[in-house]
Amino acid sequence: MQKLIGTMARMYPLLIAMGFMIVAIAFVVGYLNSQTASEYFSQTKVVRETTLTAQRVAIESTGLWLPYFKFLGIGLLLGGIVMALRVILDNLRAVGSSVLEGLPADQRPSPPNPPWYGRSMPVVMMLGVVILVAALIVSLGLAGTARAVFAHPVPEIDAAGAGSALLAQLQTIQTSSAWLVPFKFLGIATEFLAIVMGLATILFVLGSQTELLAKGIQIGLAAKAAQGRSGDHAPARQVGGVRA
Amino acid sequence: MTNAASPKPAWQIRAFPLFTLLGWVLILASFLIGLTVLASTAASYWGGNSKAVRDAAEAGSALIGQLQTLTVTPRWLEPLTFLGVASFMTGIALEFSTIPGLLKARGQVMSAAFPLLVKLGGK
Repeated sequence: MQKLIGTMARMYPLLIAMGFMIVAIAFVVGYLNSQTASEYFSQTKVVRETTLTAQRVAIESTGLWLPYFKFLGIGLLLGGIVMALRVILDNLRAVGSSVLEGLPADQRPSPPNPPWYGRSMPVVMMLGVVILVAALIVSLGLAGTARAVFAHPVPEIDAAGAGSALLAQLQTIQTSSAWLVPFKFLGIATEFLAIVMGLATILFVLGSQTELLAKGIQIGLAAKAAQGRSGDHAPARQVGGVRA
Repeated sequence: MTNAASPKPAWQIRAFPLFTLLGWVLILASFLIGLTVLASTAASYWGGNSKAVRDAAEAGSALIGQLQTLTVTPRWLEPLTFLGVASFMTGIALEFSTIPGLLKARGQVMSAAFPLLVKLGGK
């Protein structure tokens, strides 16, 4: 499983490219929406609220799904960063193992197992992406509801009485938006958590490799000293704070 | 004598989990407030009241109270969420700031060892 994740992690530039493209597309859509809004708000209130329903539909529905689409792009970018951290980790571990291979097999210190947060980092990253995709799906549903609501002239929407379908749809939009906004931040927070876990694993590996390096050098020096002891008694030296 | 003792763990190593936890708590709290307070208030406010009823609500009425909650809460909730994001980023920055120290320690080990290796290798 970890090997498969390691192989997939090497495709991190793809995630970053996808994320960047999504954010760029969101900018283009946002710009086009602003042009529609410009056209809409250049008219009088009466004209806007009674005849320009198509523009109102576009403005309201786009405003509902676009932020979640943008956040998915940001989430994919952060996911790409998490995968890049995973590649760094895999390379660090591979280099560490190949350095230790120079020592005799019976004296070779075993590299430390990666901590739990290092192993679960890709899962947390995927969870963040799932949260952001779920938020986008819900927002697309809300945009569909908004298209249905704002296809009616504003006075008709305002006149919607208790128990009417229009008011129920408005309720759905307002109620869902209330929790959906912080929900997308929860997705971003999950991505950040994965980055924190990846960096913490890198710190762990760097620290433990430094200790292993010192240990490995001591073992190598001791072996070399034992070889040459017959002719020349090498004085004891200290490396990494430990007498060799 | 050549010596490269292990350095003390940097304070950032102890501090970054606190910032991460704080960020997580703040963002989770803002999500829960959105889910429990704002969503239910929005459901009550928009649910059974036509625009005429909402507009005619008088000071001190339940509807005005709900409107107040719906307009006031997001004004502090969003900055709180961003405080959570900032807290995460501070944690990440603290993690990055410990890397130079770790690399320095590794450099010290290697600079302590290489002269010995060269000396022994020459014999």
